[in-house]
Amino acid sequence: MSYKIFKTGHTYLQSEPYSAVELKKELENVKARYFLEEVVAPDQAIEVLGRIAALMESSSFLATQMVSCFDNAGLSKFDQSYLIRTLRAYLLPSNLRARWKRAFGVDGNISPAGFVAHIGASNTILGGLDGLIDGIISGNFNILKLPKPDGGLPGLLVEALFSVDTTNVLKGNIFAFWWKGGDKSIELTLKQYLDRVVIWGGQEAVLSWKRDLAMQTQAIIHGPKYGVGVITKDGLDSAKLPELAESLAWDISRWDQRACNSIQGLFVESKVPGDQLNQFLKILGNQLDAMANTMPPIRDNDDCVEILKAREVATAEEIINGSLVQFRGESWTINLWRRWSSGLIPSCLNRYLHIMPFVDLRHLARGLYEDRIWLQTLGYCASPDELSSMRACMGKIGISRICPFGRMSTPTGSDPHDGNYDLRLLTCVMSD
Amino acid sequence: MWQAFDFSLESLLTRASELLQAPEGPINSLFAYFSFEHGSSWENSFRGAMKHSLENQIEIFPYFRDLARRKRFGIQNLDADNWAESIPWIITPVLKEFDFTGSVPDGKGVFIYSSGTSGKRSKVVLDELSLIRTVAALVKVYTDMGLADTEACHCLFMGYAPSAAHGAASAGTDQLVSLLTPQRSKFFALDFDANGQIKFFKDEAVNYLHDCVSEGSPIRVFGFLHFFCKVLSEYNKKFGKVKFPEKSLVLSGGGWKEFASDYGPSFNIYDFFRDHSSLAASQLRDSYSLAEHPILFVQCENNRFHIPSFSEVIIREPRTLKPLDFQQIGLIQLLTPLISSYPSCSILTTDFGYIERTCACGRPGPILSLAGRAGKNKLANCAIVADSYI
Repeated sequence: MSYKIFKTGHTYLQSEPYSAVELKKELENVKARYFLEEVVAPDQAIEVLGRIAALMESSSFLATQMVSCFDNAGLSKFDQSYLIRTLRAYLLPSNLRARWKRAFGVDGNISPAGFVAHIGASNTILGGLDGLIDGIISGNFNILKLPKPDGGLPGLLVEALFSVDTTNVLKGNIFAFWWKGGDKSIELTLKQYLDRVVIWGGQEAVLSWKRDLAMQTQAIIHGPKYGVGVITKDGLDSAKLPELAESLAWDISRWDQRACNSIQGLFVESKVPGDQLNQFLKILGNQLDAMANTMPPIRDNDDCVEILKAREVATAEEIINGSLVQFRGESWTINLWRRWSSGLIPSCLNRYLHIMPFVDLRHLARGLYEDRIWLQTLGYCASPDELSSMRACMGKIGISRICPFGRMSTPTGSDPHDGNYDLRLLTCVMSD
Repeated sequence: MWQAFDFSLESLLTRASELLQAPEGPINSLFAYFSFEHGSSWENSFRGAMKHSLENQIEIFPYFRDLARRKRFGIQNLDADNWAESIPWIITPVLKEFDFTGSVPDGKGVFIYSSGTSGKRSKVVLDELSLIRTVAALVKVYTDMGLADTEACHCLFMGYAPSAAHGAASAGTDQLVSLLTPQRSKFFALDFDANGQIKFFKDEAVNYLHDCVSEGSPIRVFGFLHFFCKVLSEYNKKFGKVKFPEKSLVLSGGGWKEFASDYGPSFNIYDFFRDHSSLAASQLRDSYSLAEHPILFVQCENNRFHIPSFSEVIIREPRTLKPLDFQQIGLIQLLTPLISSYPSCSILTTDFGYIERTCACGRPGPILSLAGRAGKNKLANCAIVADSYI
């Protein structure tokens, strides 16, 4: 096996994983030159990153290489090409400038935090890439944990960056390599140098990284999330059911629910009559079938087993306790719960949705309060009059983005993530 | 409320032997066959036994009855050619989520637990008759496999001591198997320490093994291979390669594949044994079973799992659940008529495997090969849970 190391603008290939000894030496070298080098201005960084976007447009070779990174990632062809287009749009200078402006407002005395590590979630192909981009434009020295020894998609983009950065603006500020997650020798070495660590991952990864951090290190955490949807009676009464169903089916089907903004649980106001809800669910089922034609799910055997397990346990719940009714299509599953008081019910993903009744928004917020750490995006179908109280209630329980159905999976590139801009957290604002 | 079934392992074995000597009734008739017989006469008997068991379980367990109705299964389906494939199955996570112990009329029973996945454990109850049948099956399989012996041996348990087992199915099985041969001495590697915490007594196990080797009587090792590998490694550092006396055997209950990554991608358990001891591959006889289907599949000297005559195995394609042919890999479904105290006739596991028609050892009947665990959240088994004590 070969291990790619990206540093000082070059790609190195080793037959052994990067060691803690090598890491310490490299970080000491960076520290030695840290005070000698000028901070890269955001505009300069943005301009170089923009060249990658241009390269993605013009280079079919790069596009082909990126597609090969998606092998076995469980993404439909639709999602694959969407991801590439989204990445390109993300890197456009206009988007990155808008992002900077939304984060900071007017220009000020903004300094980089210093040494930033980006630890991506092991189950995603982006592997902390979006955080890395923030780290780059904010002038930090960035250490990226690659998702696999050959670099994967992030490695590809780092290489692309090295190739377009002909004037060596950013090359010295990026250092990327793979190590086995939990390798204490590497991680303890790294932790001594960090000013920030951006963690994308599950609870175990987050807790592991927060342990033994140095005093100066701040952790920026992006843990797993559970997207929720809300349908009120007023909203459903005034909605065009086919359009609503199509939008919701879109949100359920995108990324096969693997994204942090993917809907897993839908809350429907209990005032909605049963036959009205059933009518809507029938249309939703048809739309989910249609989505399976537009975006055929890519599932391996393990995915199929997870769906099977979840379906059978739910069927047993239906038979033994009578607490839900299950609807199924070939590519989707819906569990309609008869009662709900509190808590999130995890979905096995792969277009598997739980629908729960709620009495009113306060009841909903109270019921989700203990699980607020997992909340981020809320999709809605509600009347305009209800939106203000929805924002107020849901804002108290950690919802950081509210949008109509159909847009849950498509935030804009300049939106904050998990309620904040990492740009602000990766920098220091100096006051006079 | 179930009453604890007050028994000693020895008395269980006695009652199991009595059943084996006079196997009467549609279910017990299976004990009259050689343990690995799967011919046409056996199939008729097995079908009759399953019919009896299914009628009983459909009547007693409302969940199973409803499931059968949903899958349009009736007892008349058993008259068709592919009768076994039509039997509705219960997937193991259902037995982890729901407790069926209340469905059966109160009586005497013993609870057994699986090791759990993400903290969830199956809890099943074996009533008196089911327990005796299960033990009888164990005795018959090991005896017909040539693994019961009259020569006394030392017993090294790489598993839980009885007081530390907390109902773990593996512990009871290990002890029962150990009683098929007179015991000269025994040692349990997983037990309570002075602070009341469960500990892996590795150094003590190494020293015990060394004493047994010196004494010279055959040694039998039971329990988890993962722990035995650690003991072998430690033994080699201290005393060199282990020279097992003749007729020594390892009668393990799985628990090493999950740790294969600890040993590297090219790890081979048989090579490991050869490098660290005098044991040949034929002396390692692993076994496969689940708490939800406590019928043991034991390896022959060619290290193949022979399907016992108390079980039937169907392999299913994970997407469509279509039954697969020989040598095609899919989800393992296990059927048995032996147990009456929970809906046990037909269990769909989340293990991948495949069936082959014959084995070079010459014993009749098909063999099962395992091909890994299925699902994203891989099931923990006893060995993984116990590993936390290392």
